[in-house]
Amino acid sequence: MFFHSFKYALKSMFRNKTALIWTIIFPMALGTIMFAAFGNLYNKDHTFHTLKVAVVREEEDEAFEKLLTELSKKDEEGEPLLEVKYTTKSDAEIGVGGGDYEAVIYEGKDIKLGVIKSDIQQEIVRSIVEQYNKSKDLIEEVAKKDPTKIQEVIDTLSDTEKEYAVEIKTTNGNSDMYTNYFYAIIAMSCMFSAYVALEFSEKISLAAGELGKRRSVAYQSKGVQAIAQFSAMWMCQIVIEIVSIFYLKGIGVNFGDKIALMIPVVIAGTAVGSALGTFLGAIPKMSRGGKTGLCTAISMTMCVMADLCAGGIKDVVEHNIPILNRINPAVLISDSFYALNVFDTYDRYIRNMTILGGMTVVLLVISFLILRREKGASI
Amino acid sequence: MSNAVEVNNLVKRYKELLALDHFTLSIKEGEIFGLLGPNGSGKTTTMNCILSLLTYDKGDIKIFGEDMKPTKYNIKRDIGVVFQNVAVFDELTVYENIDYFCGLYIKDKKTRKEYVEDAIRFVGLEDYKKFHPKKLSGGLLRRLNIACGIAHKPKLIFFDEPTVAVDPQSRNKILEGIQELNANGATIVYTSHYMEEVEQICDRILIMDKGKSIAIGTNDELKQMIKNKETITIDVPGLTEENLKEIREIKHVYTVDYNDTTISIGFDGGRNNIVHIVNYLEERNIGFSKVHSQLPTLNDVFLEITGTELRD
Amino acid sequence: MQVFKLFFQLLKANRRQMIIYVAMYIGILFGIIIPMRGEGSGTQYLDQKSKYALMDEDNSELSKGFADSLDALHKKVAVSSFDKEALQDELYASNINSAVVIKKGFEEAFLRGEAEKYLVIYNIPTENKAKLFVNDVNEYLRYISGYVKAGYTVPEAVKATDKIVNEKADVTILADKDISQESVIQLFYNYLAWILVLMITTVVAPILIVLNKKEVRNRIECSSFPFAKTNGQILLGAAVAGIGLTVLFTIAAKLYFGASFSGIKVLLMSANLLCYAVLALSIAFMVSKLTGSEMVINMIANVISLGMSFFCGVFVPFYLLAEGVQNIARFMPAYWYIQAISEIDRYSGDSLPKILQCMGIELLFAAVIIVIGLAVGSARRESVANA
Repeated sequence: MFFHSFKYALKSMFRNKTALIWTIIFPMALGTIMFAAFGNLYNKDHTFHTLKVAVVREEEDEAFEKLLTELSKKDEEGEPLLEVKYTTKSDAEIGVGGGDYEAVIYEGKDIKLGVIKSDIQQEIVRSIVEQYNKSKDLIEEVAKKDPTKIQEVIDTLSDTEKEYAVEIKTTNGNSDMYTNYFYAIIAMSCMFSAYVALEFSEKISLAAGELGKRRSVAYQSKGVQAIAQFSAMWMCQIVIEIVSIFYLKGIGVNFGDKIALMIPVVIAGTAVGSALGTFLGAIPKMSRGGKTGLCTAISMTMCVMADLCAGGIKDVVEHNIPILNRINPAVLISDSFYALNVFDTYDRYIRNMTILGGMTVVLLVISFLILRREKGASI
Repeated sequence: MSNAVEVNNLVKRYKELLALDHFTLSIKEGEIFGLLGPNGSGKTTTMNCILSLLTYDKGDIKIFGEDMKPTKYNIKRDIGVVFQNVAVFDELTVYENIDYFCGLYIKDKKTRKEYVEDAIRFVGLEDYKKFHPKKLSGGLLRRLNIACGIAHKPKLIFFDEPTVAVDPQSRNKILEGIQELNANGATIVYTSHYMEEVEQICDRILIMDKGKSIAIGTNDELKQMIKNKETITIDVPGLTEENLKEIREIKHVYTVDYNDTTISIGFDGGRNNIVHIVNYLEERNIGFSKVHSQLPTLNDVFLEITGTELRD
Repeated sequence: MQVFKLFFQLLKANRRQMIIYVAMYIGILFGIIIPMRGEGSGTQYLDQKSKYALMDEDNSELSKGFADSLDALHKKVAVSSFDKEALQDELYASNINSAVVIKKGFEEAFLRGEAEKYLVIYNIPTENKAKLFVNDVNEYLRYISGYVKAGYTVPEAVKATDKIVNEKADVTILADKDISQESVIQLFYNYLAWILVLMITTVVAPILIVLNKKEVRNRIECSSFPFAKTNGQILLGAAVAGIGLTVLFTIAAKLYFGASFSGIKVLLMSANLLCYAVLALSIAFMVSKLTGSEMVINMIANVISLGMSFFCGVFVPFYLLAEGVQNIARFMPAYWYIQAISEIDRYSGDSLPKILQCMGIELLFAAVIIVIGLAVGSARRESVANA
C-alpha cells in the first residue's frame, strides 16, 4: 500500500510539467548565470581591465616612465595593466572627473596621485605608485652609500617574481572563494524542495478541502500516505540535485575531487528541505499564503546567512553566535561541501550530516503526528 | 437488525454558532437513510463528525457497534464517502483516480483491478477511462467522484448532496446506482436538500433544522404526522364569500386560500375529495379549469413543523 | 473602478504573506547585509589587514625585524599549535588567513639567497587575503635584499627598510567631496535591485493569476466592463502598489540613514526606485502569464532577480566581472538602475541628464516586458483554446 501511494505521488508530480521543468531548471539556471558571471574570475589571479591613467609631467622621471611603458605592454593573457596618456594637468583632472581616467599621476620628485574615488582601480594604481616610490627611495639611499651597487640593487628590486617564502597549501581541493557561491546555490536549491513539499503536503491535509477529506477517511493511514508522498518527492529532488551538480561540473565549476561524497550531502539537504515544507504544510489553521510566505522567509534568510549574496556573513556568525550556523540547514549543506573540498578529515562533514539528519527526523515526526491525528475543529 | 450508525446527543459549536444541538440518530444496517434539511441545518456537519473529520463538543458516535475515532482503520475500511465537491486529481486519468483511491483500501492488486473495472462499469465511464478530469463535463465528473468513493465496495456509504448541479440523465443514473448499491448490501446515508430525491429512494428519513432533529420516519410516517393529507387547487375566477364559506363546510376541508383566480383547499383526510369539490362547483354552474390534487410533500411536513420552507 | 478595487482586495487577502516578505527583506537588509558590508565594501577585495599566526624559530635580527614589520601591517593572532591539523582548523575557521613559520637558520639562508627554504607560509592560497599577505612578505624581504646587496648589514637593512616600507603615496581627492567606495546608501539601494523584483513578483504575480483565471476573466469579459478598462485598472492597481512599496522603502531608508540622506538625493533615489518598481511589476506581469503555480513563480522570480543581481554587480563589484559579462549586463534593466544609483550618490548638477536617461531606459524595459507578457498570454490562451 505504501508503494501504491508512492507510485501515484510520482505520477502526479511528473504530470505537473511546468512545476517539474522549473524545479529542474532552477538550480541549473542559477548555476549557469553565476558561472557566466564569475567563471572568468576562476582562472586569473588578477582580473584587471586595463586601467586608463593620465600622467602629468611635472618633472620628468625616466625610470618611472620606463616602468609605465613596461606596464603598458601586453602580458601573456593579452591585456596590458595600464593605458597611459601623457597630458596637461587641467585635461587630466577634467578627464578623471568625467571618468575617462581612473587616476591622475603627477610625475615629479615624488610621484603623487589624484583621484575622485577610491575603488579597486584606484587602489591598484596607488599600490603601483607606492611601490615605485619606495623602490626609488631605496635606490637613492643606496646610491649615496655605494653607487657601484646600484645596478645589482635595481635588479633585485625589479625581480618581482622571486619568492622569498614557500607557500604550503593546506588543502588539496579547490578552495577558490567563488566556489562558495555555488555551494550556496546548491544549498538554496535543496531548501527549495520545501516549496514542492509544501504544495504536496497540503494536498494531504484537511486544508486541501475535499481531497484531503477523502484521504483522511481512507483505510490507509494518513501517516503512511504522507510518508509515501514524502518519499516520492524526496527521491525526485535528489535526482534533480545530482543532475545539477554534474551539470555545473560539466560547465566548468571545480568542486574538487570528492564529488561522490557530495551526493550524501544533497540527499540530506533535500531531506531537510522537504521535511521543512511538509511541516509547514501540515500546520493547521494557517492560510496557504501565510505558509508560502513563511516558507520563503525561512529559506531565504537561511540562504542569505549561508553567504548567498554577500560573503563573510557565515564567518561573522561563526565567531559570534556559532549555534545559529549549527541549526541553519543552508549553512550546514554549503559547509559540508566546503569541508569536503578543503579538508582531509571528515569530522565536520559527518557532524553536519548528522545534524541535518536529526533535523529531518524531528520535522517529519512532528508533521506526521499532526497529520495523523488531524481532526478539524472546523473544516 | 443492528445499527450501522449510532449518534447520541451530539453537540458541535463553531464559536458562537451551535451547529448541532444534542443531535441523535440511528441508522439501521441495510437501509437507505435520508438526512434532509435546508442549507445550514447541520447535515454536512453531522456527516463530518460521524466520519471523525470534525471534532465535537459532546456526545458519542458508534459505527457498527464500535466507538468511532480517526485511528479506527478497521472501521474506515468499510466506509465509503462521496463528497459534495468533486475530489479527484487533475493530473491522473479517470482510471488512475479510481485505482488510486481504491488502493487506499484494497491491497491486493488483482482484487483491486477487478473492483476498479466494476466501479467504472457501475458509473458508466467505460468510454472515458483515459480522460483527465478537466475534460469531463459536470455530470461525468460527479460520476467519477462517486466511483472513487465506492470502488472498494464498502458496507457503509455516505453521499453528501451528490446530485447538485447535475444533468437529469446523470442524476437518474446516480439515484439508480445508489439503489443498486443498497440492493447489494450497502447501508446508505444520503444527505440532500432535494426532497423529491429523498422521497424517491430513502427508506427512512430524518428531517433536521438548526442542528436539531425535527422529525424522523418513513415517507408515509412523516406525512401522517401532519394535518394536511391532500391539497386541491382549482383555477376558478369569480368565487364569492358565500361560496368560500360553503366550501369551508365541506367535510375534511380544514383550510381554504383564494386569490381571485385560484383556490387552494387543504383536506385533513377523506377520500374522493376532488369529486366533492367538483360536484359543488358544477351544481352551482361555476366555471373552473385546471383541477390539481397533490398529496403532502416533505416540504409540507417541514413547513408545518417549523413554519418555514424546506427549500429557501 | 471595480477591477481596481478588486486588485487591492486581493492584495489585502494576501496581506499576511506580504507583511512577512516586507519584514523579512527589511530584516535581511538592515540586520545582515548592511552591517556586514557597510564598511568599505568596495575594498573588500583589497582589505589589507589580515590575520596571521607567527612562529619565529630563528630569533635573528632579520626574523625579528620581519616579524615587527608584519605586525605593523597585519593582525597577529595566537594559535594553540603549529601542526598542520591545528593550522588547518584555524584557517578553516577563519581565525587566521595565514600562518608563518620562520625556521632556525633563516637569516643565514636569506643571506645565501635561499630564504624560501626556511620561511614557510601556510594558507589557502587562492584566498585574496592570503595573496596580499604573501605580497607584503615578499615586498619587505625584497627591500632588505636590496639593502643587503648594497652592502648594508642586516640590522642596518632592517632599520632602513622600516623607514620606507610604510611610506604612503600622496593622494589628492579631486572632487568636491570625498566619494569613497560604495556608500552604504548606495549599497542599500543596490540590494533593492534584488529584493524588489523578488518581492513584487512573488506577491503580485499570484494576484494577477487570479485575475487571469479563465472563469474569473470570462466573467469579467462578458460583463459590460470594457476589456481595455479591465487591463487599464489592473495596471493602475499594480502601479499604485509599486508606489506604495517605493514610499515604504524610502521611509525605511530615511529612518535608518537620517540626515546623511536628504535633499535632492532622496528625490532622485525615490524616482529611480519607482521606475525600477514599475519594471519589477512588469516582470511580475510577464511571469503571471507563464504559469499558474506559486511555486514556479517563486523559482522564476529567484532566477531573474538573482541572475540580474549577479550580472549587474549587486553582489560582486561590477568591475571584477569579465568584459563579456559586463556587456551582457547592459541588456539588463538592473544595470541601468544601478548606474543611476551610482550617479545619484555622487550627484552633481550635470549628471542629471544621465540619471534621467537611466530611468527612461528602465521604463522602456518595462514596456517591452509588458508587451512580451501580453504576447505570451495570448499565445497560451490560444493553445489552450485549441487543445
